[in-house]
Amino acid sequence: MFGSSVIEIAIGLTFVFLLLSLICSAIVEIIESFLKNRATDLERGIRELFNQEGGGRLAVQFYNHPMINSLYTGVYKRKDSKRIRFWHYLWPTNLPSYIPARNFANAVLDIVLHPPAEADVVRDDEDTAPDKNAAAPLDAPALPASMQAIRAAVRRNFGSTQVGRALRTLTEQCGDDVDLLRANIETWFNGTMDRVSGHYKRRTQWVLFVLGFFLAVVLNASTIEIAQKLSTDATARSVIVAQAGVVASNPDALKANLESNWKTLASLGLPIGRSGGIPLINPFAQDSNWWSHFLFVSLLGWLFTAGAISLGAPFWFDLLNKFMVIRSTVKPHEKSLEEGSEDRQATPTQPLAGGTRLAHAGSASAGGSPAGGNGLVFPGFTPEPQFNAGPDAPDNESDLDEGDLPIETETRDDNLPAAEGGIG
Amino acid sequence: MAFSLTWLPIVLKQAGLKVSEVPGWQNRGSTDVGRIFGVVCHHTVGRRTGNMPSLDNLRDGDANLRGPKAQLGLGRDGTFYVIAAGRANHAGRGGFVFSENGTKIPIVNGNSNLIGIEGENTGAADDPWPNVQIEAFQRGVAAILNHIRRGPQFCIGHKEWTTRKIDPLFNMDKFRQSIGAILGGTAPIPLLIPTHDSQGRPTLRRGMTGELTRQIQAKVKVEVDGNFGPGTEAAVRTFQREHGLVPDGIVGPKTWVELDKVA
Repeated sequence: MFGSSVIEIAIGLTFVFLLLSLICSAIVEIIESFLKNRATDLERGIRELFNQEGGGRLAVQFYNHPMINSLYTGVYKRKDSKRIRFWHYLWPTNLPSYIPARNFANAVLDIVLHPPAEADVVRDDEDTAPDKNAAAPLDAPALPASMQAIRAAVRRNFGSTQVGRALRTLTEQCGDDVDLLRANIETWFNGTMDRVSGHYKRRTQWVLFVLGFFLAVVLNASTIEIAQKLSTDATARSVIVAQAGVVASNPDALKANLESNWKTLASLGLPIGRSGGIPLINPFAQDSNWWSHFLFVSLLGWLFTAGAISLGAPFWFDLLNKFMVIRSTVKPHEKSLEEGSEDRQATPTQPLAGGTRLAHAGSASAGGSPAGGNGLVFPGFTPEPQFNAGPDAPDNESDLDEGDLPIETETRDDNLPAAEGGIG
Repeated sequence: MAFSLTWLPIVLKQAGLKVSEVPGWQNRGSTDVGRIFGVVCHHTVGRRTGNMPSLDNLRDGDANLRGPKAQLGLGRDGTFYVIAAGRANHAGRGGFVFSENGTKIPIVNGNSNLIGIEGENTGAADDPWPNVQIEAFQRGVAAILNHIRRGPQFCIGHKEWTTRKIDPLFNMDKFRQSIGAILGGTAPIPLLIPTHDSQGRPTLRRGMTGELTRQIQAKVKVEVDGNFGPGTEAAVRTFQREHGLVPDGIVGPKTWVELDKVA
C-alpha cells in the first residue's frame, strides 16, 4: 500500500502541475501574441549581430530594407533609442518574430553593395520615391554581383568596423563563389537565431514562474497543502489518478483549451481556492500558528508550485506518463485486506474485478463460473482504486438509513423514466 | 465527475434485465462509494399502486433522510431503476461478517461498502412479490455479484444487517440459493420478450412511433398521436394490470393477444 500511495500522490501532484502549466502557457501565449516579445528578442539579436546594441544606422537600414520591411507593417523607427531594456518588452511591437535566413543574406548583401544614401525607409506610396531611388549609388557594374565587387564594397562601406571585419572574414572564405558567401551569411545569422531562441526560452521560463506564482497565490494552490490532502484522502487520490489516466492516455492533451483545463482542475476536489482560511487577507488572526503556517505551508508551497509551472507543460506531461507506467506495473501486486501476509500469491481468496467487467458481465445469466473468486488473473487487469481497499470504518453518515415510516409520496407511472433492455 | 458505480446499468442490461436510468444518476450520491463487497436487499414500504411509486422518494429523500436512499430501485414489473452511481443512505447502523473461503470480512459501513437495492413493495401481507419482480431481483443481484467476483453469500437482507429492520419479507436463504443457481449456471436461461409476435407485429415500447402505436393508443384509450410516450406507457401498464399481464408497458406478443380482444 505504501509504495502505491506514494506513486498516486506523485501522479496527483504531477497532474495538478500539468494542468496549471497548461493554463499558464495559454496565458503566456495570449500575452505573447499581443506584445510579440520574440520580435523584440529578434531585434536585439540583430543589433548584437551588427554590433550596434544601441540601434545604429546599419540596423535601421536593415529593418527598412525591402527584403525585411515586407515581413512587417510600418517602418522601423527606433533610430535614436538606446539599448533595448526590459520595458521595451512591455510594449507591443510590429516587427517580425521570424526572419528567413535567405532574406537576411539578401538584405545584407544588398546593403553591402548598394548602401542607401539615407538611413530612411523609402515608401513607394510617396511621390518622391523614384527620385530617392535614383539617388542611391549604383556603383556595382553588372549582375551577377562578383566577389570582387563585394570585397571592394565591404572595404569601402564598412572599413574596419566589427561588422566589416566579420563580413571580410566571410567573404575571404569563399573564393569567387557568391552562393557560398550567401550560405555563409545564412549560417552566421542562424547562429544568432539560436541565441535569440535561447534568450526567448529563458525569459518565458521567468514569465511562467512569475505568472505561476501569481496563479498559485490567487488560487491558493500550495504544493504542500495539495500533497497533504492527497496523502490523507484516498478518495481524492483515486479521483485524481483516474482523471490523470484519462489525460495521460490522450495524445492531444497538450492541446486542450484553457477552459477545459480549468474545469478539470476545479473538479479534482483539492484544497485549491480560497473558501477555507484566507491567510493573505487575514493577518490579524488569533491563531498563533498563523504566521508559521503562512510562511512554511502557503508561501513555500506557492513557490514550489510556481517553480513547477516554470518547467512547462510538456515536461509534466512526459513525467505523468512515466508515473502512469510505473503505477500500472506496481498496482496488481498490491496487498488486499483478506490476504495473508506470508504468501499473497498463493492465497486464493482475492477476487479480482475491474478491467474485465465488460467481458465478464454478461455471463451472469449464461452460466458464468461461480463467483467468489478463485485467484484468476485476468488479462489486461487494471483495477480501479477502490477495488483494492478494505472495508470502510464507520463515518458520520454510515448510520443513515431509510426511515421506518412508509413512503407517502407517489411517483406515478407516467412520471417514470424510460426503460431499456429485456427484449431480444 | 461521475461516481464509481457507472457499471451498474451495463451489467444489468447484459444480464437481459429491463433497466431504466433515472436522469442524473451518474453524479448522484452523497459521495463516492468505497470498495463494494456485496448487496443489501430492501423493500420500500411504498404505495400499493403503480410500478415504482417510491422512485422520487428514493432519489430525493424526505424530511427524515436525504437521498439517494439506494443505488437501485426495482419496480413491480422487474425493471431496475438506476438511481445513483455514488453512495446511498440505505444500510444505516448495523454490521455483517461475510465469510469467503474461511476468511472473515466484517463490514460495518454498509452505506459505503454495500450496494442497496430497494424492491417496490408495501411490506405487508396484502402485497405479494410478483414472480417477474423476484426473478429480476435474483438475476440483478447475481449480475452484480458476478461483476464484483463474489459468491451468493455476499447478498444479504436489510433484516440481516440490523435487527431494527424487517425487510425484505421473503426468505433470504432461498433467495441466495436461487442466486447461487444463476451464478453456477444451473438456473434456466431467462426468457426475453420476443421482438415479434406470431403475426409478425413488432414488440413496441416507449419511444416508438407509427401506425401500430396509433392502434395501441386507440385501444387503451389515450390520445392517438402515434407517439409511444409516458402517457401511453402508463395506460398500457394499466391495461396489462387489468388483464393479468406483466405491467411493464411493453407491448409484446402476450399484450398483443389481449389488445386484439378489445373491440
